Order: sequence, then structure tokens, then C-alpha cells
Amino acid sequence: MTRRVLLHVGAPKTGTSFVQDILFTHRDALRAKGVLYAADRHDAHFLAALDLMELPWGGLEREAGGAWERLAAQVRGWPGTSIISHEIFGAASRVQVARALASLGDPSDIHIVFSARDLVRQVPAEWQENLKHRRTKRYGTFLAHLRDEQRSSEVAQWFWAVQEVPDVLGRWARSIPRDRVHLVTVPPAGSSPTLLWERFAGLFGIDPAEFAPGARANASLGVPESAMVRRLNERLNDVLPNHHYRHFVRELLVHNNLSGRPGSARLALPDEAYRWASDLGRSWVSELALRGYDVIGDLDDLVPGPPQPFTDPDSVEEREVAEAAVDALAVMTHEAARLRDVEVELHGVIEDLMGQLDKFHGRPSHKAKERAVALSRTNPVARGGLFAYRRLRGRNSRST
Amino acid sequence: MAETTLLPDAIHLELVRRINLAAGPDANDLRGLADRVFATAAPGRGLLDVPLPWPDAPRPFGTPAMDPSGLPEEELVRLTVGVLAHLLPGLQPPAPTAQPSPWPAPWRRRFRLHGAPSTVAAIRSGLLAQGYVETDWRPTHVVIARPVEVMMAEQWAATVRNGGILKWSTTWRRAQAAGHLPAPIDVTRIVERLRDRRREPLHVVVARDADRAAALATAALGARPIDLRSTGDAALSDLLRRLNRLTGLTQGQDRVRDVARTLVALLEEDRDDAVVARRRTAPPAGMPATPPASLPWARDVAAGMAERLRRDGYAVHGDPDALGPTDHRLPGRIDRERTLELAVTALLRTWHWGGQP
Repeated sequence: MTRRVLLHVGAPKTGTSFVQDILFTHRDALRAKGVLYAADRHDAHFLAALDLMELPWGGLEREAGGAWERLAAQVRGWPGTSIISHEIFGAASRVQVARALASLGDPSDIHIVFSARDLVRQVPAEWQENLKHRRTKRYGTFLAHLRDEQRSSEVAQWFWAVQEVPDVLGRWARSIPRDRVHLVTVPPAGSSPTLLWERFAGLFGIDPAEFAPGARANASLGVPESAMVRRLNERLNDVLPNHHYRHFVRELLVHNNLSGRPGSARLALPDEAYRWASDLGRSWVSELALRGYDVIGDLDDLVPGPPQPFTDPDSVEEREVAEAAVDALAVMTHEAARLRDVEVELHGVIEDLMGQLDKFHGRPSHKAKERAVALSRTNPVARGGLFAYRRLRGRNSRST
Repeated sequence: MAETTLLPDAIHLELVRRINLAAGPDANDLRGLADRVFATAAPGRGLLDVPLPWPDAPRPFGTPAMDPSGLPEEELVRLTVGVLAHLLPGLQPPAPTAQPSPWPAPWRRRFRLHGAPSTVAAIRSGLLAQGYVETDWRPTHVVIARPVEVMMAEQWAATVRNGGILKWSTTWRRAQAAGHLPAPIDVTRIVERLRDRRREPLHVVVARDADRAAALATAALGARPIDLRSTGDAALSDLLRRLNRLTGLTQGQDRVRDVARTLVALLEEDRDDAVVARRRTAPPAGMPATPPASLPWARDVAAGMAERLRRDGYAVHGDPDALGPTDHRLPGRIDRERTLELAVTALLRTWHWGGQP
């Protein structure tokens, strides 16, 4: 068995969740084949990333203490292929990268993996991802921040930290030989739905058909839904705790219901932003071609396609936003009704249990025991008798 | 060949320069601290690996080069907090210093203070020193009320000292969304709760200044005057909430309060240096200000409280209009330069006190 450590560090919105789902679902079978995806919970690698980068994340960081070292320890001890994967690793600084690489054992076994998609598709996808994390910035403002050359806003700093392919690889791969830096390109729209997984599986050394994806990858929000979620965030941001937001808005509303709504315009770039992103993306492709990384796929996949029709989420038709809002209200009402049914059922169970307890406490034998216990608090003879009774009984009988 | 030495970026270099500046003649005793700073990654989100500018060498990728003197204070604060979060746990936290209340003998005067937490704590200390007893058994209640932004700042300070992580602006937004001030400083609700207690007189003290609040409170209780220091520093609260957030991740939630107490003790020890002296005099530039977006709501809340105090017949000492937000035209944001100043001071003291790995 040859030891390899495949460190998949990004980028977001390139099918990373899809790949991580497969790895987590099949982790036991993969382990039997010599491939370690060390995760006791679905977000184990995410927590490891938070720990490595000391990154607050809406309270989730409280569960992350020590997660990187626990993961690294398992990887160090594995003789075969280990896979570490999370898209936010891309934002690690050079100091954090050095710490990560130093903790994974023999550096000659380490490979860096980066999945990339053309920038014109990444920009709108990343704005929508921001919305799913409670942000309220309008699309136009978001684009303006990205184009600020000084990167003075946090949103721009984060975007470029995880999406600027030459820079991410410059940080992660500066001490790694080129043949151990693998750039997996996301196929263009219209490609076979299994092609991306086949590319990853080939790199991991596993049969893509044997470890096939179960659930489909997350569809994206349409333009009216994006506008609606942004406004919902403005309304909820100071009143709804993060754990409720994650469950109700991100998972239930966005992932399970609003994404992929038929007939909704898909988000693209306005003309001028398209030209800017297209030129920038092409410059990256030229740079990556010079670097000589192992490309799995084709660098031409990263060349932006033709511009798509643009519908502005900052000035979308109110009727369309209203329809998305009514759909969302229907989902939430249905969920509230379901939860209410669960609540009523639980109340019934509690009432039943309380009734049984009352019945038990009403028994003459139990009442006598309660009187004896009460007496033992003031009467030394009763106290001695209770002590002897408990010793004879041999277990904690403090309820009687 | 793998490179084993990482060159520091502009943020690291600028922080070390500021540390040297703050240390002055003691800079030679900081051997090792610069290396510690260079080895620390700035936690959380922000500018990434900022290079120094080099003439005629524009960078095609990555964070643009920046002159260290032009770096945002936010970045320097971020890195300093990162270093502190790793050094402070190495110090022994101070023992909690709960001031004991005298034995509640019948001849001792009994009181219970409510309201603006830091002002309350300072007045409490003075009263206990005079032999007064704070108790829930038939006390004289005194509600200490100050301008809303001062009470919010003191409540925020109390929360972060207990491990809270919310920003100043977020604290205001959440209060506004809830429709009322946080319970410990919601004067209306406090007086309503206390008003009809038999044999427990109720006084409400309203004052802009801590000294004036203390004077009115002691007069209401028949106590001797108390000399108060400044009752808060928003920059310290800002520094604490950042540290709390990071400590929860790096050390675990159960250590957050201890590390916070250590930081407060470091910065509040009685030393004759310029930073502490400036904080004690609390010039107006150091006072908290209501964030502009919350100002209309703050005025409404204050006006509502003032009207209730006047209308409902409470024993009010001072002018209820003093509850209104202070019009000192400050931006309503925390002064990052002050946060950085405190952070660097804390770092120097931590290093001197032995908080080394």
C-alpha cells in the first residue's frame, strides 16, 4: 500500500459538498479498500478547517477545538491513501498552511488537490452562498466590492482568499512538486453529470461506479428566490439564532425547496462585470498553464463561456419575489404544522407519564415510604432504620 | 526543495514595530516576542499574507501590497488578539475578588442596587466599605440610571467580561429588534418590579456622570460621598469580546471567563503608565456612542423611560431627561486605534508576566 495524503483545499461551489457526501457515506467501504476519509461526523473536516484557521463561524467554532490535530493524527497513522477535503482550507494563510503540512507526516506523501470552475460562474454562485450564510449585501454592492483592487471589504477578502486559483495554489503548493499538485476542472454546463465525480474518483484511486453519488448536487437559487432570501435575512438577522437559521432557512427552505425552482431566471453577470471576470479568468488560465500542475480535466474548462442573459436580483419584478415568498410561506406553514403535531404528541406522552407517576406516588406503600423518609429527617431512630434499609437494599433508593 | 522559513508579511512587521514603539526603552527585553508574533497566523477573516510594496513589481495575484503604515487597525488588532489568545492562557488567572458584604446586623443600613452595571459595581464597593449591607431582606432599592448609551456600554462590558462575543453594533441591533433594553438596564421594568414592595423604599437616580450618580445615590441612602473612577472603556470591551470568541475555539468554552479575567487584571493593575492614565480620565473621545442606525430608537426608549419615571410617582433624584443619548457627535463605532493600544499593552504585560509558551 502506498501512502498518499490528498489535501483537497477548494474551491467552494465546485462540487466539493457533493464529493464530501460520497466520501462520508462510503467511508467504511473506502477504508476497507485502503482509502481513509477520517470523519466521525459529516462536518468533521469543516471543523478541522475552523480549528486550523482559528475561524469563528456562527458559533460552530465551539465544537472545533482540537479537530485539526485529531484528523491529522489519523492521517499520520494511515498507511494508504488519506483524503482531507474542505473548500474553506483555501483561505489558510502561509503560516497555517505550513502548520497543516507539517502535521501530516512525511511531506513527500502530500498532494494538493484544487477543484476549479470558471470565474464567470463562480462569482454569482458565491453571492448566493453568502445569502445562505445570512448576508444581506445586494448583488451590485457585492460585485463592486470584488472589483475593489484594495480588497478593503471582508466579503472581497474572503472571496479572493478561496477563489483566486493561482494565489490559493501559490500558498498551498509552494513547497510541493508540481506533479503532486492536482487541478481538477469542473466540466462546463451540459457535460455528463457523472464526469466531475469520475475525475475525482480517478485521482482518489477508486471506482466511480462502485462509489456512486446518492443524492444530487445542490441546485442553485433562481434570481427571484435569491432576492427573497436576501430580504428574509434582513428581517431575521437580529432575531433568529444561527442554529434555527441553518435548519429552517438554509436546509429546509433553500436546499430542500427553493433551489432549482422551475421557470426562475438563473443568476449571471451584467455585461461589464462579465467582461471583467472573463478577462481575469483567462489570465488565470494562462498562468496555470505555465505552472505545470497535473490537470485532471482540461484548462479550457476554466475559460468562461459566452455571456448569459442577466436578470438583476436588485431590481427583480416584485410579482416574482412575491411568488417565491408565498412558496416559502407554504413550506414554513407545512413545517410548523408538522412540528405542532410532534409537539402535541410529545405533550400526550408527557401527560401519560405524569399520570403513571401520580398513580405510583398515590400507592399506600409509596406514601408510607415518603412518610418514613420525612420522619428520618428529624427522628434519629427513623434515620437509622432508613440507613439500614438502604444498605440491605444494596442500591440507591433515594426516591423512597 | 521545501522552504522552511516564511518571511513575515506587512501586518506582522507593522505589529512588531508598534510593539517596539510601545515598549520604548524596554524593547530589548522583548527577545522572543517578535518571533512569537511572526509565528502566529492572524485568526479569522481578513487580509491574507499582505506583501510589502516593491517598486516596479506589481503583483498579478493575491492580496495587493500595502505600506505597513497604511494597514487598517482592524488587521493589527486581529493579529494581536491571535497572539494574546495563545499567550494569556499561560498566565494564572487572578482569584475572583468578590467583595464580602458585612454581616447584616440590625443596625447596619441595607441596600440593593440595580441598573448600569459598572456604575452600580463602583458605588456598591464604596457603600460596602462604609459598612452598608447589600441584601434582599428589606433593603432600600436604588436604581442607577444613566444615558442609554452609557448603560448599554456598561451592560455590554458586563456581558463580555462573562464571555460574551457580540459586537457593540450587534448588541444595539438585537436590543432594538427585541423592542427593549436588556433586562439589567431596562429601568422601566426594574422600577415596575420593585415599586410595591412593602417596607422596601425605592429611589431612582438619574445622572449623566458617574460621580453625580454616586453623589445622588449616597444622598438617597444617607451615606458618605464616594469618589468614583471612570466606570468603563468601550475599547476594553471590544478587545475582550474578540478574545472571548477566539479563546472559545482555542482553549474551550470553559476557559473563556478565566482568560477574560486575566486580561482585565493585566490592564487594570495600578500602573503609572500613559495608557492607564488616559483611561482613568475617560476623555469624551473614549465614551461610547449610540450607533447612528439605533439613535432614533435610543431616543424613543429614553423618552419613554423618562415619561414613566415622571408619571408614576417614583422618588427620582436627578433629571429623567438625562437618560437620553448623549449628543457628543461621535460616530457610534468603537475606536480601533484604542483597541489596538490596549491590545499591545496587554501583549507587553503578558510577555513580561511570563505568559510564554
